[in-house]
Amino acid sequence: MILFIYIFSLIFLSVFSYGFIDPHLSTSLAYVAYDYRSVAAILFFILLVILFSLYVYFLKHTPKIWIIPAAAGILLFSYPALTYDLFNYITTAKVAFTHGENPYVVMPVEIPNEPNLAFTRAANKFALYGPVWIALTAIPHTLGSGNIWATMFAFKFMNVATYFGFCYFIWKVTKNSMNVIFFALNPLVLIEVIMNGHNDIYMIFLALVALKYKNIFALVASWFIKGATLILAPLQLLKITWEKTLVAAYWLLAFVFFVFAPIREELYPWYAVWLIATASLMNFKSHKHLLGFTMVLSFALELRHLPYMWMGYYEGPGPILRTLLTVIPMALFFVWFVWKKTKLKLF
Amino acid sequence: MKKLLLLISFLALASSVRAEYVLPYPSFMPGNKLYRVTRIVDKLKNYWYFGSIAQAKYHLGLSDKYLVEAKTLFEYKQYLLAVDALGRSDDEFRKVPRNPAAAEKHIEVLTQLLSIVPDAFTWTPEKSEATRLPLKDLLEASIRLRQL
Repeated sequence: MILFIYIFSLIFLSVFSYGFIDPHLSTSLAYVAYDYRSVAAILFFILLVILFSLYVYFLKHTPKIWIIPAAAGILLFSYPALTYDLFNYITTAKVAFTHGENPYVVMPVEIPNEPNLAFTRAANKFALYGPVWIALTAIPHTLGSGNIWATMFAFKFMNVATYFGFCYFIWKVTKNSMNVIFFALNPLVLIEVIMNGHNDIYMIFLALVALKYKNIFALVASWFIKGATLILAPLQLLKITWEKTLVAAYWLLAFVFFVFAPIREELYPWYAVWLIATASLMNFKSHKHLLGFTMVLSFALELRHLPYMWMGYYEGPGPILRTLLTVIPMALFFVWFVWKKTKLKLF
Repeated sequence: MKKLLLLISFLALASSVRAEYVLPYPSFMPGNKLYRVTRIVDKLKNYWYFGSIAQAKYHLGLSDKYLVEAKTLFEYKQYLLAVDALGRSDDEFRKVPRNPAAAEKHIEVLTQLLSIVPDAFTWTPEKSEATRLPLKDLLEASIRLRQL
């Protein structure tokens, strides 16, 4: 029954995502998100509550391993509902590999009559990511053969392949299926990596491989996807245990996440993939509070999608609502954490 | 009537806020230790600016840069160096697809220079032969190139 609810919720999320489809691509289900915004936001909130509750359940009652490929497989066919970043990746790849232009010099908007501009938000920006990412995008770009839908699914397929690769890495390092589930079934990972197709998993996968095997090439490759892992460079030189390396990496990335990211733009939910991936390699018993914090953080960050979903714009009360939706669950976690500590001391 | 007035004032304002083509500030000048380095960097940048749009940007950027260099040198009466910079600006401009805004700005600068430089100048270095520089002819040729 639990598995049925889980699979049904994922299928529902996958279908629901098509409600957010760009009107330039299709309008079949678009009325769900654009005409019934409050209903869409409530449905998404309910889905989040169900998926996070079942995630906690699965961490206590280990499910069958097939649930991971099933979840990934279902969301592979979803629409990148909550972001336009995937379309930015697609258009940047097109600038580089179809038009033969340097995407760091030529913006998509400078390409005359480019049809992808209809659904590319960052059309007036040069390539936002490093050359390793641009090189990787050649694969889905080629597989997509110029068809926007085929390219979109090729990008998502590459994300799913990397997600499986990282799951295998967790298993190889920890030999603990709970660690794999901690990462693989985290709803934020499923939504942001597989549904929305963000590229953070490539950066963090390479960085953690670099830290585990002291491989400087992997770390440099990670930097040239996204620069956030630059902060991990000192860890490559330090001679400390793997467990300590992970904790240090977690807090360094948390520093970038909580301090630099909001200064630069804002606290984007998908950046939490860095923290979830790092935490997934830790020993469960030694770091249960950190893992608990990461889970609450994941939930709190996914709630940040709700104000835009409800209102249809980012401004107005949006920023304060997003802050409250992030801070309140985390504050409640801290209250619970302090209460539990105090209770333990009293008894 | 009010709407008509509003439309007229909007059109009048819209035409007055047209973005102007802006030339860069002068970079390192001949004689500076870093001047040779910047010239090498300019050449290396050619590999970075691959693609037809990027190439147009590259050549226009260099044409702008060398024109500003030439203007500064003309103003300081360093005519031999100025003519060399102007020649480079022309060479780069030939490789740029038609760009009326850039051409107009270049012509504006070149026309200003016509009024401050002599028609011709004989550059006589201490230890080598003198060179006659037909400055007016050269500037006019540069203007004609941009009028095409």
